[in-house]
Amino acid sequence: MRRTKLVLIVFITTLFVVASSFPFAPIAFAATCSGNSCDGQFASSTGCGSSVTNVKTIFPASSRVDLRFSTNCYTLWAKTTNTDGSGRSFYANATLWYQTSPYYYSVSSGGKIAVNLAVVSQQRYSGIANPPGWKACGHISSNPISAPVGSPCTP
Amino acid sequence: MFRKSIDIALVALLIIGSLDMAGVVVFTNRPVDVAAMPAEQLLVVQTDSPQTPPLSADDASTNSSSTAPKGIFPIVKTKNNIKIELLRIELSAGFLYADICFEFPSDNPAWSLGGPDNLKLSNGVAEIGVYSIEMIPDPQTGLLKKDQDGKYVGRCDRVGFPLTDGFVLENLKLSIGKLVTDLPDSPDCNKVQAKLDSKNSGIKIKCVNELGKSGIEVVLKPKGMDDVQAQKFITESLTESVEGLWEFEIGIP
Repeated sequence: MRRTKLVLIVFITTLFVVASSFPFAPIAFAATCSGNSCDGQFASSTGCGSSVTNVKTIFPASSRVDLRFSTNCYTLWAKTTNTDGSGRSFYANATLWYQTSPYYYSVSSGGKIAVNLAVVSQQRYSGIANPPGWKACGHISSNPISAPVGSPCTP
Repeated sequence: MFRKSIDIALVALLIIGSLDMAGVVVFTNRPVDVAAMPAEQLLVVQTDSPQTPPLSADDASTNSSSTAPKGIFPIVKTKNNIKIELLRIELSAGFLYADICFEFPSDNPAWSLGGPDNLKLSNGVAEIGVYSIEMIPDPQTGLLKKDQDGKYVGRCDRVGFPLTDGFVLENLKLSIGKLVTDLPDSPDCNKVQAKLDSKNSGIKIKCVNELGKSGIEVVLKPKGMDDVQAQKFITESLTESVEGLWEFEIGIP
């Protein structure tokens, strides 16, 4: 009887400790793709967009163009954001250039997008954050933009 | 007897829980061990120039700011317990480039130096906002700096300022107003709305749920509030920030 109680104590303590550790653990979002299976898909729909850092950024007039890297999927994509200080809406394009066919992914906004809204290209698996020759290009305009965009681009 | 056992278990849980939380605090406040960078210099940079203002009370009392001797990098500035280092300055193809390393205030890979409104080069007469930011990969991770627990603790960037005609390269000051996290591609709209409500902003939002687009749209805002103000509220609710100011005096002999 005494042994049973001891086992029970250990069991309950262990249970509480394990359960209590969950609220402090970082939330991990599982991606639905990995490696080249992510190619051509959007980071936002695959879970790859949950942990992101900008590798390269440029700031053309009233906008910013980012080359974004997923730290959980090792993919890159382009993002162009309207940052106009006067609150104006614009057409926008984001193009990711890389070095294997089909060479690029490009997304243009169908209409004008408001400040702080962005267009985002599909992602491509790169394995590393800064592969040579990969870059993000894009800009905003008061007129519709044809894809792909070749300038301005990140370094 | 059984009740006593439960009590013992709960006490054990509380002790372990406390230790766990203490560990989190200690690790998130770890200083960043910034890797040394090559000291190659195309432009001699002079610190402690005659134009350097005296340390502010804040600098002197609450922070451990230090300035390198003349012409020696890195130049280190600390504000609100966040250390930023200027490693190198270079003039190239009409740009002034600066290599900067900074600590992350939290374990979030999205921390950045911000944009042209926040990261500026001035000569006392005119200001130039940053045009390009390029990550300098950490030699160990190939990306951002991490601590031994795998938490993101900092990054280094090469930032570029386009030198306009007539911009005199004297009394140069590089300033970083604040550190900010970049806008996420997939924002948590419920969280942002809750923050906006807690500030009584009167703004109602909806997330853009369309492939190839990202951001938050304003559905409703108070009369008299313009779009720019509304977006400022939203940005503040979407991102983290730590105020500076970090200033680097750079004189050219």
